[in-house]
Amino acid sequence: MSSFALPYAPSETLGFIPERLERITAIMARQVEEKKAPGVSMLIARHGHIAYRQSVGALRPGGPPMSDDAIFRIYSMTKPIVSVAAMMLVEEGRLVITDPVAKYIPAFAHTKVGVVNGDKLDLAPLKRPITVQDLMRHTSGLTYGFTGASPVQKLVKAANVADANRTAAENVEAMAALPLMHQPGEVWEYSLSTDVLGRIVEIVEGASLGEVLQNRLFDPLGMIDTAFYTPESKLDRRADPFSFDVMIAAGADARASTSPPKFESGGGGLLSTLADYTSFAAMLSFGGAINGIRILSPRTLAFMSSDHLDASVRRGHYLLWPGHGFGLGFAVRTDLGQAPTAGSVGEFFWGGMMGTAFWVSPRDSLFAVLMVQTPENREYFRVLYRNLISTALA
Amino acid sequence: MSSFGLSYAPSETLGFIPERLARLTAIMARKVGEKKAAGVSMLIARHGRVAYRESVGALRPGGPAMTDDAIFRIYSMTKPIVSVAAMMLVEEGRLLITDPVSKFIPAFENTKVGVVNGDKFDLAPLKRPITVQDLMRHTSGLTYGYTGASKVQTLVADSGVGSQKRTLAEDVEALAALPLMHQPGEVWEYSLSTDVLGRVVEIVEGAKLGEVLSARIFEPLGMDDTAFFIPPSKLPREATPMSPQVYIKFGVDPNPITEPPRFESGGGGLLSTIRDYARFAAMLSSGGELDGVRILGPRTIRFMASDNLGSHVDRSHALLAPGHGFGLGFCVRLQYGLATTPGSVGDYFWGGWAGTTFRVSPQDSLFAIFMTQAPDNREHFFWTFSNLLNAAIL
Repeated sequence: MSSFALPYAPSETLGFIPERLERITAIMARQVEEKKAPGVSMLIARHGHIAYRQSVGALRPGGPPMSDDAIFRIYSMTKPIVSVAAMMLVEEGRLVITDPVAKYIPAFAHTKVGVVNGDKLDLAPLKRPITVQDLMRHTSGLTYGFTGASPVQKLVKAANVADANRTAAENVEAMAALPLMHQPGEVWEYSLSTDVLGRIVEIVEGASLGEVLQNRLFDPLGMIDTAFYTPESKLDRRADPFSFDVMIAAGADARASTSPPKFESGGGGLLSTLADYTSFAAMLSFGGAINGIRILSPRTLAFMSSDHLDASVRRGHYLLWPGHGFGLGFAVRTDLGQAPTAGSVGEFFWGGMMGTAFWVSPRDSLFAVLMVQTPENREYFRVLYRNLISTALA
Repeated sequence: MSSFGLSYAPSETLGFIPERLARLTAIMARKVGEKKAAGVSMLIARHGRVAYRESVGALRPGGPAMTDDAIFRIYSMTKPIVSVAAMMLVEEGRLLITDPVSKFIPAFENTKVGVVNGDKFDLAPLKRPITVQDLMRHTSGLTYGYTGASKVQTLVADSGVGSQKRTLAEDVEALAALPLMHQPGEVWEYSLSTDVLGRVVEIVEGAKLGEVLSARIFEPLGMDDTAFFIPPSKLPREATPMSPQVYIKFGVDPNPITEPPRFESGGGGLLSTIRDYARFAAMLSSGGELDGVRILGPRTIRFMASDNLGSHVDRSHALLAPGHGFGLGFCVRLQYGLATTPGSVGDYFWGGWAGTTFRVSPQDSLFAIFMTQAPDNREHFFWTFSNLLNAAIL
């Protein structure tokens, strides 16, 4: 059994209704029986104590039981980690979020915006430079190749700018040569922005992203199984989905590398465990420090977890839930209603394409982590898990 | 070491993380090493006590060490001081903020609004009079000659307003003869408004602005080194930028004004020290009173530090940070996110063109002052100082 950074406490002392919390195990076991996922691993903590921790089902189809130390592809849950690393640089006066991206990656000074004009794609100059803040809140104008079929998204997909055989430096240069989908600051568009942010972190630190995250976050927080690859010795702990179809359709590499990859994707490259991401989420939940290790200040964290989208920013994107805004690396709940699930204003969170999710609720002094590998059912599991937690709060 | 008339307390007793506060010194020393400025001086106070005070680098290139009593051109940090003086008149029943400016300066009755109409430039009558409140919150319709290249801004730049050759009275008469850029109350436009406000103060008091500020604010608060000029005896304490060229390229005279000038600019004419401005900010932070000297009532300060822009006012100006409004003489933070640096709702602040800034945070019972002379890098310094300050608050 892996070690968790937090002590346990009986759930009723933490403001839960115990039988409703325990019910989560049976309901998730039923999902597994229905073959919605091979297995699930979950942790719920409140007031600094673990209230619930369970693994159900199998590590992979036909494999051994799901365990606490299973290694999951966390995909976009990489983004909050890279955003925290970037804000550490901000706290050290080495980066300001108003910096133009072109200050670090000059190729972005010449990036154009694609404007659909009948059958043609015209190129318009930038109205203002892309900033580091735009990267963190997804208003850079960049997009992904797999989130739609607009002309720019087709170009991005065809260009294979997340090429595993190129370095982040090379991939990001290739991104800068493609047109943006929007003018910076105008639209929330989920995007390759965090890959670009990761590259900026590399440039400011003068080291590879993997090295920076190792030194600044994984070592201090004891995240011993979080990396851009799965070493051979840990392969037997890796969780797999029923099918990689959805991921392959998205152009993602279904098999994580067993050695440090050439491309360390700040937007989605990491693998991690329930225990490791719990350390990270606990640090966020505790205002930036855990067990005496300070990563960020409470003020910086409050800033990151506040809505950074202006009223003029178009928020209609399918990946931004109604009633939510976006901070610096996290979605942020702005309304009690509208959302697909109950929750509190100020909750911040994100998830990964393979089904992993986490969220932190400052108001409830609560955080939760969900680890599962099921790309087709990721949204289902997220909403279900959150519903079950909300119903268990006294 | 001068006491500043403010007591010290160990920063950890004031809710700071001491090693992170200390880091500020090293990081600013690095900025000085990178020649972003000759030197900087900083002060942070909380709960009425000074937690941090440091000067790094040199007073001027190749000069002696930066000191606490260095004299800086504070430019637009003059505006909050003049606004406080005006509100003292309001508290005495000698001025209402709803008063039309033309009540004091009749020439403004005939002021027109410039309307660009294709190639033509039309003059429209005022829809309503400019009020004293408009002057204080920058909704008068006035502008600056250097903040843009619109027709009106070009006219203002060419008019020689603010050229030091005329008295404030003459300058303000000349200004009233120029067209406004907007109808009063419609647009937040950073402007010569506070010069006009300074003239209103002169008229109500029947004395020159410098005399009024000395008698009402500088002497009562012990701001011994704040004035519209730097006497020759204090020249050894003058802080300068890396090169006079930094001023010259913006059309600013690098030579110090060593005697009371003809033109006392309420919008930007003062010189001050970190010590003096700490006294002013401490007065604001403690609700209008310092060491038994009451300048304003707490309610008046709260009113000044609240957003005075209606929802219909165009706030898109580049100098009004996202997520902020404007009160009577100060910029006011309205939300936690969206801004360029962490902070609390209700923080109010302003800065000066050459690189000075201050902020008061009622919620955190905190105020902070940063002074340098580096117009090219002022925003980098403003954001970095604020980022590092917030990184140090527990």
